[in-house]
Amino acid sequence: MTKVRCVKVCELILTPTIAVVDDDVSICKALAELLEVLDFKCQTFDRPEKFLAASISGRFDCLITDLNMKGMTGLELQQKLSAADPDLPIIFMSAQSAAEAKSQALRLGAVAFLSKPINDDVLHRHIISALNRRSRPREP
Amino acid sequence: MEPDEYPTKGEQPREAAAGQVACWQFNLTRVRALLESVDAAPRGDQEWQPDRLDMLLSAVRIVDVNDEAIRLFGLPADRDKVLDRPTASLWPEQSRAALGDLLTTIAASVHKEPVTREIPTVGRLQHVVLTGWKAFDSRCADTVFVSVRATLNTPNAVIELEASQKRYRNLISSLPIPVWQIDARPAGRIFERLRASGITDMAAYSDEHPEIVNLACEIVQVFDVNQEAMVLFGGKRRSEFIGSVKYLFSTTPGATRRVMLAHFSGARNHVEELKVKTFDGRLLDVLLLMTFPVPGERLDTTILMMIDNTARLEAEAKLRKIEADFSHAARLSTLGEMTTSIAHEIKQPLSAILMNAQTSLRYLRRAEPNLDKVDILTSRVVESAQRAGDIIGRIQDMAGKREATSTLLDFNDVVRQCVVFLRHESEDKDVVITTKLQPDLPAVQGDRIQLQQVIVNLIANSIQAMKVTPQMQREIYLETQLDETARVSFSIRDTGIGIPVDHLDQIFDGFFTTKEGGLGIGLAICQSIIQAHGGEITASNHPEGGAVFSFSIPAKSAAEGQLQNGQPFGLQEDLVPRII
Repeated sequence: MTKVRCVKVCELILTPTIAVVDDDVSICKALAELLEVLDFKCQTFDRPEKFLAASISGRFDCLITDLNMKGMTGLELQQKLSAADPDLPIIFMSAQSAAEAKSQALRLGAVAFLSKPINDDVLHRHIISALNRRSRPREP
Repeated sequence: MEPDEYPTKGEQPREAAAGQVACWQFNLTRVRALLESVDAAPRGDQEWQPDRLDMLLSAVRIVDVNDEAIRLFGLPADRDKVLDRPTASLWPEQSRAALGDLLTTIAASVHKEPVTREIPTVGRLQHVVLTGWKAFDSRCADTVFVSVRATLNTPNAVIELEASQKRYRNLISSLPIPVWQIDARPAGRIFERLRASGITDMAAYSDEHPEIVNLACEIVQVFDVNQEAMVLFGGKRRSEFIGSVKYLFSTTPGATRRVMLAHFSGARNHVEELKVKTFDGRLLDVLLLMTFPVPGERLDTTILMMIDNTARLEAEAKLRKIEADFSHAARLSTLGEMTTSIAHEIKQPLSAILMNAQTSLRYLRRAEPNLDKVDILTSRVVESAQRAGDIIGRIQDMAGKREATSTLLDFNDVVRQCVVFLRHESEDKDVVITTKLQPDLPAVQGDRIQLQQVIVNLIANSIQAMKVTPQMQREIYLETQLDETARVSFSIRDTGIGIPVDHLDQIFDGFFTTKEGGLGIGLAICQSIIQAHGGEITASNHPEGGAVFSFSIPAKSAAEGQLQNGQPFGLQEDLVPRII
């Protein structure tokens, strides 16, 4: 057990793990492949509830979530996480031009709010900045 | 003619009732002067001068005749064409002198005794005895009756036949329908010979010998047409119409053959829709009605009639186009309301395509390209592209102009596809759609897109009606079932504001709307679509709030479904491209 945990810790340090939440499975799969080629580890969830159930503070280094989902919107997820895992950087994706949701998400600390379809370089840049923010100690 | 003026008129029917005696009633008022002038009538052996006789008989007016006189003298059946006419125009030439003599004698006589004249032959009549007498009532001194007794030298039947033929000719020429009279006997003779040589299947025979169709067409001749036919075809002279029937059938492929097969089969009538080209170059849609003679009738006359349907068909086509335009406008309006969710729906597969393509490029540009990955990713690009294409296809079906096509449909499937179509729209507006679809519903016959248009429209209306409903209470219940009259019914209930009671009556009227920017044709179109499917649609308010719309359409029995498709539903479904 100890050995296993040790390996996990090493992995966490070397390759950040990114959570992806989107109720469209094809998007989840596509993002997983993109993150893999960008040398990130990734775990996908097709429902926000499943992500919340699996999420323990510190398990993921970044969250990429869709805005419009069945059951719970990305904004509601963000609210729930602000209590459970306040340091988790969040990148929003949306297929709609939702100006209001965008400003709310950013006000509540989202790293970025990207419109689908998403450019890989832009996403990569935002993930890097998210991870930098994560590794930076919180302001007192 | 006032009864007071001619009280003696009553005498005439008595004569008529007496049997086969023709009876004429004349008025001599106008000839009185002529008769009283010097020596009106010839004396002794003197011959009548034609001019005088003409003058006399032109002045003698016919007051009345009986039916027998009409029959014997071949007078017009319409009494108005006889009464008050000059006698000269209707009395037979051969016996005019005898009548003139008789009338002159009676006019000159102070007695009222009957006077007779005998004539050997008048046309068909033999041993003709004219008996004339003055009216007994002295107030009518100028009224003279003449009865005619004769034996017919022609059998009665011949007269009847002549009369009948005359009636027939009159009937045809004055029919307000274009009529062609055709002599089809030459074709009949060919058919006889073929039958004699053992041919029974003319369809097969004419396939093997297509020239027989042309031959039959060539030898069957038009011998008469009526005025209406000439007007219809824009012909100037009757002679243009006489000859081979070819010109009637040349514009409709296969018409000649069908007519020929009908003739061969011994059918009494043949009816079909025809396109004909008139002599002045117009193209008309007509209904052809042919009546072939059967033994016992005159075999030389086949009657062909045409009813011009051009105007009706044009009006129908226009109406169909207007309906289609309205239906199209309604679909566009519904789509317009859903633009946001449609864009969302298409962006999803596009995003996946873009991401997968970008990832592939990264793998390909590595020092050692990872082709296995590229293979997987490219397959996913194909999948997503297909999905995007399907979505666009569905929208095009809804947005495009199209003709209605009737197929056998799994109604639950139609409803399910509507829910899929509106999934984004309903999620967007936080509306929960609950469906309760009765399993094993019989199939319905109809147009998939039109039925989906109705259902999508109703759902979209419900979503809109719940704008002000609290988010957690926005619900739509869809239900399908087989109702007690064995019709497939659909109902939709929402938890919205309901329909104002005073709007219930007009809600299906065209251009009735409460929506800002709404066309007000959605529900009107829904109603006309459901009616076109043999059903009806109703609107009401649910006792617990919200509106309820329901419609029902006739179900097809399983057997009918099998007959029309030749295969069960599941299989057929796979053959039909999914539209929505």
